[in-house]
Amino acid sequence: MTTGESDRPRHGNHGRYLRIDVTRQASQSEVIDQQELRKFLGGSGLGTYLLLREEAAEVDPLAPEAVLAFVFSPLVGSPLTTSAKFAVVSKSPLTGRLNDSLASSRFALEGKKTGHDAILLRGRATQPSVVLIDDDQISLEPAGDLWGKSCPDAERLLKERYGPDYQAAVIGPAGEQQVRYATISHDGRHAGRGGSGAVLGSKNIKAVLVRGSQRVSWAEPEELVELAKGLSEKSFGPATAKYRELGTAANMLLLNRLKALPTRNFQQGSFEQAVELSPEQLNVTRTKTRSSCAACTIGCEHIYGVTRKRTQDSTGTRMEYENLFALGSLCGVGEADDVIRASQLCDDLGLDTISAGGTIAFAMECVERGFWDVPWLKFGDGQALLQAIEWIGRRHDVGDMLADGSRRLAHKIGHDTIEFAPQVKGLEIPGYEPRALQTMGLGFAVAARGADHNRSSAYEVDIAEGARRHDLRPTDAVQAVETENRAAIMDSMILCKFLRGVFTDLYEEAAEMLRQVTGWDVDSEELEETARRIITAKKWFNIRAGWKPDEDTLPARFLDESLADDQQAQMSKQHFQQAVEAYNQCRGWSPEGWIDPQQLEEFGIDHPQSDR
Amino acid sequence: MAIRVELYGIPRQRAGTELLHVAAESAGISLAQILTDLEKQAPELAAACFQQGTLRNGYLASIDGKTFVTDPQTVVLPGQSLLLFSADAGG
Repeated sequence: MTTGESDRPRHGNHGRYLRIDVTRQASQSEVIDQQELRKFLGGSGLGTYLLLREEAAEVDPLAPEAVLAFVFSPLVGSPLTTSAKFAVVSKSPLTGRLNDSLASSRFALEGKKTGHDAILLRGRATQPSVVLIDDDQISLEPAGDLWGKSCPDAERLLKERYGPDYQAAVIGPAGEQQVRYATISHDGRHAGRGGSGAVLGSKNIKAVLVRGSQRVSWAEPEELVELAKGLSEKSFGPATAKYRELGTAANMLLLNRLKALPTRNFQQGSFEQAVELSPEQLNVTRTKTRSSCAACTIGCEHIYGVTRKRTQDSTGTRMEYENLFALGSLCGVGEADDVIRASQLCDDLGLDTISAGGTIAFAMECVERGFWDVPWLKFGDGQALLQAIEWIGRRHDVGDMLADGSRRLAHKIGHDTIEFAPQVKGLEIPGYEPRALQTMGLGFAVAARGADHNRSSAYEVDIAEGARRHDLRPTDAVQAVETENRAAIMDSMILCKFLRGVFTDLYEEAAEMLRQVTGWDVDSEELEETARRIITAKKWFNIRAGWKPDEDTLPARFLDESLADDQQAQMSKQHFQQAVEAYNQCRGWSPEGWIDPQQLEEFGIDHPQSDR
Repeated sequence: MAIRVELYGIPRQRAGTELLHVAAESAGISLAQILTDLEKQAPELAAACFQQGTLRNGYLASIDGKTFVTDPQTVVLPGQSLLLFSADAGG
């Protein structure tokens, strides 16, 4: 590919990505021209573009040919709060569809300083190894002694071995075992969903370490610093207070009150022990410290003592809403000690807590209903939860079946259990009951990576003035599209979602950031089109990977049954299908969800195989 | 007759309690009147979450968890519950 000097970005980006083949121990620096960067921004959007460009859609995600991309963004390294983020993008071994998971902190800062806007890996090392990237120097180092180490231990040992200047993204034992929902961890945070850790593990790579010295310039540095100051000030306001003071679990008791807290594998919408798991109660019963990602002024992380205050145990673990719901109410476990230990175990092993909890809760219901003979795996049993997680991480005994997620488990168990497997496209449903928050349910059904609250965020529609959360209508699809579009911009810029309440006009304010960082004359209208392009590119990836219209739905349970504790919370299959069709039409796709090749051309998305 | 005011998240933190009550006639009272009454009962709650009978940006109310409101003229009836919480739904 040739690129003229005028196509090279002048500010904010390096205009190239690094492609590493760990089989051949070879690397190449590839040009990304400015037009493509502007069309896809960074993070989730740029990652999707790169995976399409590398023709990654048709490949088995755990095969050596599969591509795993660490993707930065124009804002990484800028003074804008929450911008130290990176995306990990690949085809998911859990869903077989596009997966883009985000994480934060110094890996993003250091990774971009290697002089690349993204780092792509493919191939398979002949032995357990780590990839060392020091500016333009790339090497593969043996790491057999680290195989089996937990995420935090591996990261600590790597820093001791290579020096504190390196930042590492690591997998735990779950990634090594190719658990289909294994994470990639950095500094205690995880690119969590969809199994990117399994993709790295399949390449025999324990970690990627980065260190660099190449900074990008900003187009308008003085104005950018002023803009960043203003954004930081706004980030201290009421819109983010709940994250600072209570963390992401701040709404747990509200969701419980709304019968929207998934309980015992989505059989109920409220949990009788929710108070025990709430941050209000955890604040009272155990020690707590707060932390934040690099370059963040919100500080949402609440690290709770694993055991109660009266003990001497000083260890702590980050507790997020999704951990508390998935390992707590969803499994019927109300003892906070067990839930916090389970969360810590997932962090150590490198497991997505939502998929771990969702798969275990589904298995518990299968056992309860006599479809699976694993008598110890019972709702409410904290020790069973811990044992199941440990076994999943090592693929031991029944953990081997659980390690493949609820959809594959349902197909193995049979008895039509797929009807209550809590997943969309194979990705386990996060902590928002779809029958109680029905626009969110629509968002789960249509999202490219499967049931997902971060790429859709349609709960914003359900919990808002005038909302009819129990009465999904086709007209709600417009708002589902809008929330998904806004999420696409934030995930590609990349900015933390917890800033969303701070913006008066996300597109205009995001455009101003981009103008000052990159020098592009981008405006809000262009960014709205960028959002639509990114969502369409993701869908196009999925079509190339084999997507079919019947994937964009919810499991039968959600369309047949009302909640046991809220008869109002029910949806009809017909109404839901109408809403899905309305969503597709809002996107300019066919009612079934197919993309017209002309739209791909208009968006500038390459489509060498646009036949179905 | 009374309206039950349930507090969640930051409103609960500020008020130091999970539940307050506001007296109401059978025809009900407006959201603005409820918030004015709450100012007297829990000044710290009011300072953080509303001013002059209006919810501040970032906060939302719900009647019985079914309808979501911010309009100060919304009428709430005795026997109903008014939920106050942070507007940002995500976690």
